[in-house]
Amino acid sequence: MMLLALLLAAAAPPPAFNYCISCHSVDPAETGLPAPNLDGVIGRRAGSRADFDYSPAMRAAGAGGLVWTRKTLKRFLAAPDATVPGTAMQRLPPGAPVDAVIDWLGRRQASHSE
Amino acid sequence: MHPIWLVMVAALVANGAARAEHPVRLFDVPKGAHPHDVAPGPPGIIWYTAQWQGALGIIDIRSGAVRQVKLGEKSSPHGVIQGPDGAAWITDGGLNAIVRVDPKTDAVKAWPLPEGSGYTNLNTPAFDRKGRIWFTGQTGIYGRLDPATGKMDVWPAPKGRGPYGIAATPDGQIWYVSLAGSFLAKVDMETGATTVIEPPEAGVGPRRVWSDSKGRLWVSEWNSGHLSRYTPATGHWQRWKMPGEKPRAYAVYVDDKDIAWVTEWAGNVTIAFDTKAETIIGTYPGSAAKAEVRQILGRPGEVYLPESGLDKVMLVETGKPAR
Repeated sequence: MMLLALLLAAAAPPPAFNYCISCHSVDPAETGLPAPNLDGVIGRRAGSRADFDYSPAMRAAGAGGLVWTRKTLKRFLAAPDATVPGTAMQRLPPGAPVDAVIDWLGRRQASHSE
Repeated sequence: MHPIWLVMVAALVANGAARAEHPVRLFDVPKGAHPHDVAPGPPGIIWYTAQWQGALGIIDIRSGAVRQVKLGEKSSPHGVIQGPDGAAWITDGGLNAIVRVDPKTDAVKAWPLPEGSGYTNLNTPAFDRKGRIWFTGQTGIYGRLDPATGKMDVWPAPKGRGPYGIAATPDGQIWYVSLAGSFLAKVDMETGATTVIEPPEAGVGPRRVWSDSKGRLWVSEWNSGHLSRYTPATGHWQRWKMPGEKPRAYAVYVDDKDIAWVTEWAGNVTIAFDTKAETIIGTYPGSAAKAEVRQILGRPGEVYLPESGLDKVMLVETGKPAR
């Protein structure tokens, strides 16, 4: 029962993910969106998905060593342009619960890797 | 049967046709307002949605005075347009409602989406000729409210999430685009059914749409960086790549002289494109870096550019000579 609850928690996106869904997906089969797929994003080098045409700024950030961790994601979501100047990523409203999104992405990724 | 596409692509070079820019004015709005969309209000007034402050902003063009009308707790307005009754009509994602603000009394009235609609991330409104307001929701819906009766219909969009810009043609037809679904759509005005018009290339990411005086639809392609035009009578598309290394066309608006105004985010500029001569005739840089103009609207002699990233609204005085 506990396992089922954990799996359901990992599957259901938090309300804060509504900020993201116009542009991003976590369904690995869903490509061609305005922003890169977030399936498996934690641990991935920035600008490195082969199926997405990143901004030059994001490609350069990845080439410069930026890897998406919970810490770097939080910094990026709080201030996209300060983290990757020139990125196409848009700012979120002040106080947007970015931790909830990052935690969910992490839980989801962990549950899929088990 | 699919229409036959006639696809022409022209690169717009930076130093082509002769250009000139109209004078501009800048209005500061409250810090943190994040002016997302704009619309002409009563004469001399510009409305904007203060998305991060849950308010309708009101700019007095002559005096420069700015004030805001609160829309309610949890309000997060996105689109605004003037209705046939002269009021401001707003798509409010935070309230998940269509909101009306009376232009004389500031009275606020909301029509929540039907129970069971869930959170829809409401985007943009447009009126048809029967006084009904049509709207899009990014989670994958579009809908219609008849303010006279309060009847509201909400339909699931083809391909799910993505419905974004919406516009009415001069003959009163309603069209919208889906950013994530990457299509242009026409709605049946009575049944609400959507007819999908596929762009000439997959994944172009159409974000906004507007009609010219002949009912041709102009689309800003976010993913591909094109301005495109769809002609319903022929089913033909034509496209123009915006200047720059990796352009991102966010908003489009066609003014009363059939000039298409397009915001291009990579270059932080708004481009004036003559739809008859099919060439750029002016370029308006943001008033500072990261202006982030997300929508454009205007009226004869005026075009409004909300600089969401700078908490300013730029007025292009198209009624004054360009130079």
